[in-house]
Amino acid sequence: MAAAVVVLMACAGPWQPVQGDLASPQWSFAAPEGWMHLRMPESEMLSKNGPYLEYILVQSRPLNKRFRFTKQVLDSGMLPHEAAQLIIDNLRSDPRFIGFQLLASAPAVTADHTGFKLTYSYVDKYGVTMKTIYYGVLLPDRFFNIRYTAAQRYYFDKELPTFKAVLGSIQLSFDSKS
Amino acid sequence: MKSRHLIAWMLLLLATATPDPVSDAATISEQTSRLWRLAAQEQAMLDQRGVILKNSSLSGYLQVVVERLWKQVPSHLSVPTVKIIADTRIEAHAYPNGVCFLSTGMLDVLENESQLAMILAHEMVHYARQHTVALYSHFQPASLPSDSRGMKGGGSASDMVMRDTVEAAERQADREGLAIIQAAGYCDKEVLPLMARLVRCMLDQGHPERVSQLNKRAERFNVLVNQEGENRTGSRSTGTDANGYRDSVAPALVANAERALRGGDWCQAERSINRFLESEPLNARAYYLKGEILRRKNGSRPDDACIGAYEKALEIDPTFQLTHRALGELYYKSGRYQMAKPYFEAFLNLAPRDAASPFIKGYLKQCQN
Repeated sequence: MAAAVVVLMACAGPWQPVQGDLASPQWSFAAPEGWMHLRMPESEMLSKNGPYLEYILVQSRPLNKRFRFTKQVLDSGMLPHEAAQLIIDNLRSDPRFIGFQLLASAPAVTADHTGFKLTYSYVDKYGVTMKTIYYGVLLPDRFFNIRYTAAQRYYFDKELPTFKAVLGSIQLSFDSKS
Repeated sequence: MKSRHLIAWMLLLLATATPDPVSDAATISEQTSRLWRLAAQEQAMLDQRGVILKNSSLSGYLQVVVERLWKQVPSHLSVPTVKIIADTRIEAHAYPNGVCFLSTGMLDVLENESQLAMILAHEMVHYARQHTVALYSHFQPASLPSDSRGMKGGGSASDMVMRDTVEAAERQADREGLAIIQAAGYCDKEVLPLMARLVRCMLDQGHPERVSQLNKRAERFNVLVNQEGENRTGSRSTGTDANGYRDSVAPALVANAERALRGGDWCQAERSINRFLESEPLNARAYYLKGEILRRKNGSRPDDACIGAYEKALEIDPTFQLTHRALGELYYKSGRYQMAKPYFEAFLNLAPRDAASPFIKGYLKQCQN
């Protein structure tokens, strides 16, 4: 996770306190009070106690953009299960994830779009067991995903209701383009 | 050991070196212990990452080759052991504690046991000569030339000295490794096609920077093999049976195909699975994997070869659930719901608790509507 956070922050502005709803040309959602957020070109990160303990990442990427650890590419004709498999393959190939374990994989609806939900855990390079819930949907030309990652011990359960609230409030603005 | 791996190890060790080592026997022994501990830690990390391929027949085969070679090595150290990493990259390296790692990518590149013997013998020389320990001791600050001191790991002069020393260790491993395989009765000439194959594979894998070093090694081997050939009188050599080697490393080939599939390297995946199928033509899982490779390679658009591979898998083992799922998905995506339905039903009957079951239940509902 540390490397992912560093990479994400490399091209980002400063962390800002959350004030009201967060909106971008691509999405909007009710941001949790007391959290900080970091806006990046195609993603948004939120954290309360620091991204090494917990974070929510909202991201959209062009469908044909390469992943870091697999040469496979998404396409809009994929079934949700096929897209989920590609994401799992990419995660499993990430050398920074020690002991990656897929805990669950299921269909899920995010912002009225059918997609998938993955639950997985891994050990980061500091030896901390992290747990993630990852929702993904394939849109005609983009892949939208929102994930919640936190230290499995204490933090994950503590901020899970906050993540569920964010997830429930998210609205996508891609529909007019698609 | 690849020189870059040896250099990476040296830099890591020097970065954590104690400042004032004393070059007596006790200190060297302490350094050895420290290196062995570090090696054990790194190996434990690999184990935790779940990348070690555990297959008793493959391990047994490799150990037989190792022991045959080790008999030719005058060393008081214990017999090395070989572990396989499921990784499509072409890698081989030896740790100072005698554990040699080979990647499935390396085993897939090799064509016969003589070529395998050359790779193993090279790594054994690094171990028998304790190159890592020697280099570590050599590059302690007290051992460095005065103009290199204080530039530990960062100065260009010390970098050059280190690269030269590592290069010398590599040359020694090549020269003595070749002598070991000759003494063990393997075919030394196989080192030449091996080098040519490594060059091709490095280019295929996008590593042109490693080609010039391989070409230099090939030139040296060429001289050594020809010299030995002139001195040799009627010696017999073994280990050139390509089919026997392929059968022995078959578990590594299928693991390599799976890794390549995961990484989206379709050409590598197809090569590995086809080679595996030459060994085990009645393996349902391998045909399923072949179908998967062809399906994903074609952007999930089925073709006859892809469907043929899945159908062959079902012909061999009608209870192989993943094939039912794959065929169901193919027909479902092309809108042929009635053809998809029996495959989805069979999959759910065979694997009701599979992680994909919730998805398949959803698709099946669509088929029934």
